[in-house]
Amino acid sequence: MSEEFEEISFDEEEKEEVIETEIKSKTPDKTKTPAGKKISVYFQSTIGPSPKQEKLVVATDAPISDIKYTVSQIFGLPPEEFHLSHAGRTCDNDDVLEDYGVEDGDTVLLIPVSTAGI
Amino acid sequence: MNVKGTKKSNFFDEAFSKDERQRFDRQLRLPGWNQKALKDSIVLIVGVGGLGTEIAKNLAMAGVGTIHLIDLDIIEYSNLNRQILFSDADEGEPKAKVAARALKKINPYSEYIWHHSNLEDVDPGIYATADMYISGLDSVTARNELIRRAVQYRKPMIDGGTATYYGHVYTYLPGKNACLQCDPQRERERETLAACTLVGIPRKKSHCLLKGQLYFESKNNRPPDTTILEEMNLVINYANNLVKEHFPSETIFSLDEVVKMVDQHDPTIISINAVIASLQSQEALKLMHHLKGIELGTVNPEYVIYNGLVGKFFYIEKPRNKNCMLCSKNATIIEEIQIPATATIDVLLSIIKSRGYNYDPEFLPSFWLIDKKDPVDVEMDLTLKEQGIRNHETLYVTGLTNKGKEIDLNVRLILNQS
Repeated sequence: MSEEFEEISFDEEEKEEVIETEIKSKTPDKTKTPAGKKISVYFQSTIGPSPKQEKLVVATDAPISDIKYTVSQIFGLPPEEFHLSHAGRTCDNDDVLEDYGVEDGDTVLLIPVSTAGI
Repeated sequence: MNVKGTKKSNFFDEAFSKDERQRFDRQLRLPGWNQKALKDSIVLIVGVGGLGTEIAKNLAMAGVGTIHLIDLDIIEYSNLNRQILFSDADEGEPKAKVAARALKKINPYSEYIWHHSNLEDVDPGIYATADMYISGLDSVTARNELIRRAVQYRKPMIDGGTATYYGHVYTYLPGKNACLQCDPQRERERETLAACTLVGIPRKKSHCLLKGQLYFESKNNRPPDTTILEEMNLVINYANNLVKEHFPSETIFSLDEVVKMVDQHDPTIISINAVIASLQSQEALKLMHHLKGIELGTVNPEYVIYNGLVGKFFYIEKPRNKNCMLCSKNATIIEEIQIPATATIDVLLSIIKSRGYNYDPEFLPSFWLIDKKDPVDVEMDLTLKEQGIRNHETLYVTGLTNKGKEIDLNVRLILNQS
């Protein structure tokens, strides 16, 4: 009985740790812009037949997936064909813009999802 | 540049035969070039496909001394639009083996060692002793396996990748720029159908096609073959009936669309592969000089994007993530332990203890064979040798404490050769 109990609690502890580390590695310390703030961001594509730049006003607490959807409409590129990238970091769909410390006037790149090679 | 007058000219270097000097004559004339640096280099090419074959061809022709070729795949006819080393091979032959054979014909003065294996099962000693890793991989998972070895053995890793008309090159330089875990990538989302949506109404148009595939599979007990028109027609008819029923405003699937979505093969063209592979090769050749203490330009530490639709390059700086779980101070400590292969894990544990690590005697620490694709359980009473644990192998140890705090440890074994 007691053995079983200890095993279960050990497992739970491990899982918690894993989740914590994932968040840590994805979100380095950075001064965050206040939630809900609207900022102007330059979106610049590196892919497509005519790479271009568009200035858009976005909410800092907007999910990356929403921004990707909007940007894909404006640039005419399917959302699964690009990642958003800010200051060398690739933005995850589940995060929000402010997780990446994006500030007014920053540039966010649309980069190819080039994981093939075979 | 070749400014120091003391440096020996490669034109008369005794390391090279007359034939070799003739073969490499034009590159021996390059300013700052050192052919000996290439000859003495050991390079791992991981993934011998669209990128890997081009890189291997370039490095073999340039005269790199030892090239390890790692690939699990076999040759398919559809590889031949871009993978030059397989032109005279048969379908079904291992890629790594055929590549080694073809390279020997291209330049017989180098060594080509092939591994028809996934990268995890290649001997850790090879990773420990190579000068650099070059990746021509097609998945994020495999790249993650390779970058862990690169970081832990402190080896540069030259990554490349393509997607339709685009590609990227990124050279990880230990301690200088981001590793691939500083900015973790996710595997591309493939459209798959959860079991719960199987019975229900399709919520997206793509679900109709997945249902068509599943319908075929349930009738034939195998997935449809995209090269057989009748089979594709069965899938497409089923799918389009569902589209008409549930998404009347959307256009029905075309045959081209269906083939692409069913087999999920990435579209790719030799010209893009060749650009990316050449960039990777050129960075590798410079690195080979640098690692031997010879100046030759600089390796670009940035993430380079090539857009082949407009012929333009873009550059992204990749700063290190100070909280990275793989390459920062948050990373798991590596303890290198020299030990005879005839020692048991129990003995190993005593050595670990002597280094200041403790554990609860009622719960022995666990040892994990992270350098293997399908690790087996580690037995405390068996010797390292008996469990197939190899020189330079890393074991991940959990359940230890250090100064009262729980700590995990990477134990890298240096086995005494008896």
